Amino acid sequence: MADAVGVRPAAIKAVPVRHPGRWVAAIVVLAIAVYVLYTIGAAIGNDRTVLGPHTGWLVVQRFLFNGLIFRGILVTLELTVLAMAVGIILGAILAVMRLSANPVMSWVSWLYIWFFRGTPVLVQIFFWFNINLVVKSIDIGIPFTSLWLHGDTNKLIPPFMAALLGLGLNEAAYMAEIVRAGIISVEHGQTEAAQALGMDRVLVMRRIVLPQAMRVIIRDLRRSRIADRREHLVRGDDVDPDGRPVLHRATLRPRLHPAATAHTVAAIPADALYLPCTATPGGGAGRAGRARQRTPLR
Amino acid sequence: MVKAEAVQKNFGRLEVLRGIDLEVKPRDVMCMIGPSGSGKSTFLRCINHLEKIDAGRLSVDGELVGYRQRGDRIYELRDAEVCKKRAEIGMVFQHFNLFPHLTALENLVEAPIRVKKESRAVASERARRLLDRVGLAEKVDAYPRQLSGGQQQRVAIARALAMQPKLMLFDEPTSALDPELVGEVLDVMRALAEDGPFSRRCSRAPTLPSPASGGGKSGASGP
Repeated sequence: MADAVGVRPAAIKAVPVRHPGRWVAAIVVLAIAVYVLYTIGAAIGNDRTVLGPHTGWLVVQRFLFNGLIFRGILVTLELTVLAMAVGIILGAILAVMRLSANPVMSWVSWLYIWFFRGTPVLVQIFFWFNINLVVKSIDIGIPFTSLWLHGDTNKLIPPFMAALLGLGLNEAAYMAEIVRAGIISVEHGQTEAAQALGMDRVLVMRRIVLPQAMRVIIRDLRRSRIADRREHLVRGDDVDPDGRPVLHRATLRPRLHPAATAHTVAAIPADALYLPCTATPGGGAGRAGRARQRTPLR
Repeated sequence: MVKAEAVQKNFGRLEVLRGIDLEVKPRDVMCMIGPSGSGKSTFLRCINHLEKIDAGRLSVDGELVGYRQRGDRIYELRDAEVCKKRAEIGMVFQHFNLFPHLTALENLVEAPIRVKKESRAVASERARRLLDRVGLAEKVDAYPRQLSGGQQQRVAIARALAMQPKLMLFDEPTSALDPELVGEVLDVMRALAEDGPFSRRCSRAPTLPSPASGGGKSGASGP
């Protein structure tokens, strides 16, 4: 090390390793892309198929920028944000309850998660919408006094509220599992070190475990919830009011069912919303997020 | 300081500690050595009640660990009381267990502020002094991942000292370190043993193997 002072070795001039695999992959991908684009282009040129009257593109064009669609997008965004908020708060509480040393808390949380994950969200929304069938009114007050608040459930739970309750409470169950996975992912040594410093359960969770769990929670959130919502969109209306499936093979019928056209109208703005959501990298993972950056496998 | 009488600990059917008797006096430095799996860590963890003992008596400073005796009866301590006791005992772990989302300074002030309700100014002042003492004055704002293993362990020692404990437990503090980093950690520990940071009473038990296993190879280190 200390010898050869002042003598600098010449920089290495080597022939770099060739990567033929990358070229092969590029050519294959390019060939497939050209083929797909050509097929679609040919179909458009041939007017009778993709852009023809059978697929209802004219209808799509007419309604895509209709005010109704924009109002729909707004309601969707509103519902998503609010349901997420309900879900995150309630979900975090449920996750902590589930991991609590208190067996009653843990069991109640388990039951909630089991029930709300096990039943379809659409059924839950219908239930809240029709809550009036079960509970006529909600009365809150102090017994033996006249301090009572009275509310008719039909007035307390308008359609928007029913959707929010259905989505939010359902979301909470999924969120609870994600938060629980995040909490479990934090090494047990962290809890021990915090306990050894005299921190109580609440402090350990709030100051040490949850901040570290956030990294995993946010990653899983982005991965699963956004994808799930897309699925709901398709699944939610894949049967029309007469019970017939909405998505047909184009060859089976002369034209697509009108509902399919409506679906296309809804799907275009929906995709415009979802794609950027899933594409943004990393952001918001917080301080811990910066801790580890993945490098590609070599 | 620490008194163990016939302490027993089982994990299911496995007897880990089979009747440990031991006494550590204030200012004593005690080392335990033994093969891995012989119960050194388990015994240390019993002292601050991270593990419950199954039989025998274990006391720190004359008070039972995890229990209170009134007459003939023994009562389990409530969580808050257990935490209070733990706050008086510092512990250093084999794998450091620093909090990765906090800087070195934040690692040191977290417990004094949250547990002992010290002001941030007081806690930070002491934290800086301690980091200086373990030779890491310029790493105050570094995150654990930016530190070498030896540096991390020195921060971990400072973190334990920041609570001004009356007893320090070191659980194989150097066995996860590269050989050339062991020295710096041992130096810090040696300095602590010689002129105890908080004068009178700092006893420490670096790496305790179980006497039940009868010594054996030296899996441990200590000053």
